[in-house]
Amino acid sequence: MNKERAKFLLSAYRPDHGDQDDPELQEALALAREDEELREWLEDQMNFDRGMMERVRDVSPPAGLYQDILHGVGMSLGEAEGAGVRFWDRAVVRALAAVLVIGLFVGAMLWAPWRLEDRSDVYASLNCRDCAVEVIDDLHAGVTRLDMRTAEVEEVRGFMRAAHTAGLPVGEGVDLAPVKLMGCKEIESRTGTVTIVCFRREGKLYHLATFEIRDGHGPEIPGADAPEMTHHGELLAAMWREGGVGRVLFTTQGEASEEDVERMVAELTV
Amino acid sequence: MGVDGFVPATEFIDTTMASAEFEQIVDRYYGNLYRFALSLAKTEEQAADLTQQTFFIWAKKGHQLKDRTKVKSWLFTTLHREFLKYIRRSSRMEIGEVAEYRPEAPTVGHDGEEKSDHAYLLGLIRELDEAYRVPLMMFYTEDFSYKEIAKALDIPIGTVMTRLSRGRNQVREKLEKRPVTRGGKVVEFREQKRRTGNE
Repeated sequence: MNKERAKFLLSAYRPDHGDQDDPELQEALALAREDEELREWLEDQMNFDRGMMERVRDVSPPAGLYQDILHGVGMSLGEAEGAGVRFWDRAVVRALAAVLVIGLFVGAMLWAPWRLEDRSDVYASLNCRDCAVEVIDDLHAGVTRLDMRTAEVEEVRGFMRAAHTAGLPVGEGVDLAPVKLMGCKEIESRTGTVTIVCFRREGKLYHLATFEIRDGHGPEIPGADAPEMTHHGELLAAMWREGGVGRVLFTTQGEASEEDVERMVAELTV
Repeated sequence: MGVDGFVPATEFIDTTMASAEFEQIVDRYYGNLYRFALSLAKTEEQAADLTQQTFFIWAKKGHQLKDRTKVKSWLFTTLHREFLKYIRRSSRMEIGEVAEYRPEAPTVGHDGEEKSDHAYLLGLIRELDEAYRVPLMMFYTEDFSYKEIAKALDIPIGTVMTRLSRGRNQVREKLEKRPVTRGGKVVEFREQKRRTGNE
C-alpha cells in the first residue's frame, strides 16, 4: 500500500473508533505509524473530525421533540392516519383523499355485476401499471435506481428479453433507435415481471413499462392506434397492447403533453 | 389512553414491537436523526417533522427488521428517503436534480453575533452539495463507517471515501476563508494544523 492509497482509506477513518475489523484501514494505520508525514496528516484530520463531531453533536433538538415523537406516532397509528399526520402539508392529504374516492369509484365500476366478464388482463395491467407508477415515482425521487444504465439499444433489448420469460418479442416490439436511452429497471409486481426503460426524446423524459398479459386475450386494452390515456398524480400515461404484451408509456405532466405522448407511442410501435 | 384523548405511541405499538424497545430507540437516536435532518431540511420545523415521520415509519414497519444491529442504518436511510420523497413532491424535481438541491440559508441559531459555534458550523455544512453533505453528516453524527454509508446510500465504497474527503475539505476551506466576528475562531480544533500533502 502506498501513501496515497493510505490517505484515501484514512479519509474515512473514525477517530476514537479503531475500526479494528477493517484490515485495509489497519494496514493504512500501520503505514501512518511509520511515515511521519502521513502520521501528521492523519492527526490533523482526526483533530478536525473530533472538533466537527463535538460541535455537530452540540446542536440540541427542539424541546419537546422526544415527547412529540412518542405521542405523535401513537396518535397517527391509533386514529385516522390523515388526522394524525402533520408531517407534510394538508394538500397531500387532500390529494390522497381524492385518489381514494376515484379509486373506489373505478373499483366499483370494475366490480359491478354487469361487468363480470373476463377482465383478468385488465386487472393484471392495472396492477402492473400501479407498480410501475410507484417505481417511476421512486426513480424521480432518487429513492431507487436503474438496474442498468446504458444508451445502447441492444443492451436494453437483451435486458428485456432476459426479464420477460414468455418468449415474447418484447425487446423487438418497440423502435428504440430514435430515442436517447438512459437505462432500464426490472420490477416484480403481484401479477408478473415489469420492465421499465427510461429515455429522452427531444429533451423530454419518458418511461416505457412492459408487462406480459398472461391469459393472452380480452379486448379491453386498446391497440397502439388508440392508447388509453390516464393520469397518475404527476404522471401522464398511455397504455396499449401488442398481442400478449401490455405497454405503458409514462411522462411527467408539464414535461410533455398528451399529443406528445400519442406521437411517442406511434413512433415507438413498429 | 393518555390525557386529553392523546394516546401514547406505546399503547399502539405493542403488536409490532415492544414499547420499551420503541422508547429506547427513540431515546437513543432522535437527537442525531434530528441533526442529520437539520442538514437536509430547509427549516427546523421540517427537520423535526422528518425525524417524527421516520419514527412513525419505524413504529409501523420496524418489526420487519430482523437484524436489530441495523436499526441505526435503517433509521438514517429511511429519513434520507423521506427527505428525497418530500423534495421531489414539493418541487417536482427530475431524476438527477435532487443532488443539486440545497437548503436555504441556515435558520439555526439566527441570532447575529451570538450565533453559536455549532450553528455556524452546521450552516457551513448545509451549503455543501447534498452528495457531500449526506455522507459527511452520517459520519459526524453517528460514526457511520464508510461501508455502512455505502450500503445505506447505495453508492460504491470508493465514492464514499471521495465524498467524505471532498466534503471535509470544502468545510475546511470555508472555515479558512470566512472571517469570524465573535471572539476569534469559531471552530478551534485541537492542535489544528494546516493541511499538508494533496489531501
